[in-house]
Amino acid sequence: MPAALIVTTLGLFLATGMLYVSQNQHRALLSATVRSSGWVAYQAQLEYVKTQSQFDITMLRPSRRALDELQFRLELLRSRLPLLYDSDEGRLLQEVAAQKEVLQHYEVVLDALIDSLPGLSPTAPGTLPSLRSAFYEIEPLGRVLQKVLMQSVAYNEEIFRREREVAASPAVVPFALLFVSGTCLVAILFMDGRRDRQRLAEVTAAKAEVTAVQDNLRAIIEAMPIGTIIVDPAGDQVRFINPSAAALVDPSPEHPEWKRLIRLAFEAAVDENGRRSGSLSMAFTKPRGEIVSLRGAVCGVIWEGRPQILILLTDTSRMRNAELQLMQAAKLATLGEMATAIAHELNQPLAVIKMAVANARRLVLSEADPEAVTTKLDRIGTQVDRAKRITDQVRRYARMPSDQSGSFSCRHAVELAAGFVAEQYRAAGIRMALDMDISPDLMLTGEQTMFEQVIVNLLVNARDAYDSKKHDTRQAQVTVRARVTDAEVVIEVEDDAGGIREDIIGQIFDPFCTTKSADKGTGLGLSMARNVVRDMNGTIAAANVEGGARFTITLPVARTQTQDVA
Amino acid sequence: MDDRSILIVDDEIELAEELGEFFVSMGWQAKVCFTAPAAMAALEDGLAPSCLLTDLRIADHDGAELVARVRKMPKHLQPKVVAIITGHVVSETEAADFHADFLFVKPVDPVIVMEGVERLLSGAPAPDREAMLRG
Repeated sequence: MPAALIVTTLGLFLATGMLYVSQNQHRALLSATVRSSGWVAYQAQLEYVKTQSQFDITMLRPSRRALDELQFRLELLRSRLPLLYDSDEGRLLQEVAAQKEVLQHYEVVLDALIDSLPGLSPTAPGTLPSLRSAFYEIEPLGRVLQKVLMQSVAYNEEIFRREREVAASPAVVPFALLFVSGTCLVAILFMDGRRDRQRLAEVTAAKAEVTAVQDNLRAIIEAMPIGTIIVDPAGDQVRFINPSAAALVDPSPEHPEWKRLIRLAFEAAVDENGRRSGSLSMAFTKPRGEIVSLRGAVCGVIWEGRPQILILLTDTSRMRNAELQLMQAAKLATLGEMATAIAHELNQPLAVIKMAVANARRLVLSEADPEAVTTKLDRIGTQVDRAKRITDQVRRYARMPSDQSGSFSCRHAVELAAGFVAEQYRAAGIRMALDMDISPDLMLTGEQTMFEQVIVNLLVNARDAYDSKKHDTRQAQVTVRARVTDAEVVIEVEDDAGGIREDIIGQIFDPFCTTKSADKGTGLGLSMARNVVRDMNGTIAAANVEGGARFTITLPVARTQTQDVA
Repeated sequence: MDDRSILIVDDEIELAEELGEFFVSMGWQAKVCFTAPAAMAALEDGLAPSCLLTDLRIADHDGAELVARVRKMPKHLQPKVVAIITGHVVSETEAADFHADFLFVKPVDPVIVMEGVERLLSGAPAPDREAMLRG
């Protein structure tokens, strides 16, 4: 827009200059023409005066020479008349146009006179009267020419006056136009400059605002209790850490332990497409040896004008420890509930031992074959091992869960969990069917005992479902299925105890949602099961199927031992 | 069978074998069954032991149910003494519900079992239930 205005102004300026020059040229041409017209009128009037003088001379002293001179003057006068109305200069005078016919009349008269003069004799008596007659005949022509000359003189005087006026007054209009053009140009430049200044002010203000926002953002990030790390994807170099993040490793981004933390975070947050993105949950051993639980996320971010990676980490150790303790409490509660069944299971080998000891004593007292005594002692040893397996199982189940993930066999873990509740099922008359279509080498990643607790919870819930509905346990069956689909393992625990109430099935994984009586359940089992499965990057869902409920756990497969070897 | 014959029913094979061996060593005639149907078949075939000692839960079957069926048999085929042995922790009240003469809790000393049974067979009063429950 300013450029268009400048171009327009320059155009006007040039047009004004060209108009000024053109007018000056036109005026000069007009002046020249008017002056030329005066010359034409003057020449005609001069020739008329000379002709009249020659008439006077010839009539005073008639001679052949005088007559010839008169003829010459008449011819000159005759030649001057067409110049008046046939030339541009002559036509400029209004009087010439008005007297054109008169002039042409006198051209005829003069032609006749010119033709008659050779026939006149200087001495003939009739010559003088003829000359006098001719003199008076052309006298009106003299007045016409005098009038034309006077008009020409008037024109020249007017031009002279105007020229003097122009000379006296300089070219106001062009100067005015130049002034206006210049003013417009200055105004445009001023407005343009003002706008530029405004824009500059706006840009400066915006930049100051961005700087303030960046400073505020940085101050907020610095003060946040969430560890914030900016990593340059080229070489995974730490570009920024806030104090919360520094507390995890070291205030210096150059500390070598940052590399380990970043690698672990990237491994924990890799999404299904292999990108470093998403939420993460991981354990991290600080340089001083303290193990902390971290939760957070990894995402791309523009930092200092370049695409970089943002890692957000929150130390959830206290919350995680509370969660683990809660899980432990739930496990111990389950263990307490299972105490009767465990006691029964333990009583079986003890009973065998008691009987075998009685028989061995009798054999010893009767000095029987030592081999028979040895057989009894072997049997006792076998039963002691059996009892130890039971106590090991209880100790394993009662162990405080840790936050350290590892790879473990899915099939083995499910079988351990199923074995742990098998006696309860036997006591309750519920059949447990294991349909495990997975290899023992199929590995999962997580904390094995917590995963086993999930399966135990589901199996205990299924058993309780039969109890609560006074189901005919003779027909009761709980099926545990496991199969692999793509890169996931699907584990289902399905009962035929009538299913979950439709009004609570949507909240079944919420904390404190339970259908059991207060002495049988805390309402935290499924909630914790969901947390454990989520931490293993899996999902758990509940649905009612024909005659019962089905819980489906879907977990990503870590890798198989076979793959490891390969 | 004479007055010192016993049918032992328990799916714990080693336990049933040790019990049978003990009773045999004490001069008893003993038959060991590992399942309830096998025991029932033996009884129906006219085994008629003087004592039936059965586990409370035998694989997929209920020892109490076996006792109930025995009680419905003709008198001459019924054992004179019926004893239940269990690994479960049971109260005195629960023990009384099984309609058995004895309810022993594992691990029980076989001498106590045998003495209790013999005392009842000889017409003496049964030992107090507390003692049996303690094993």
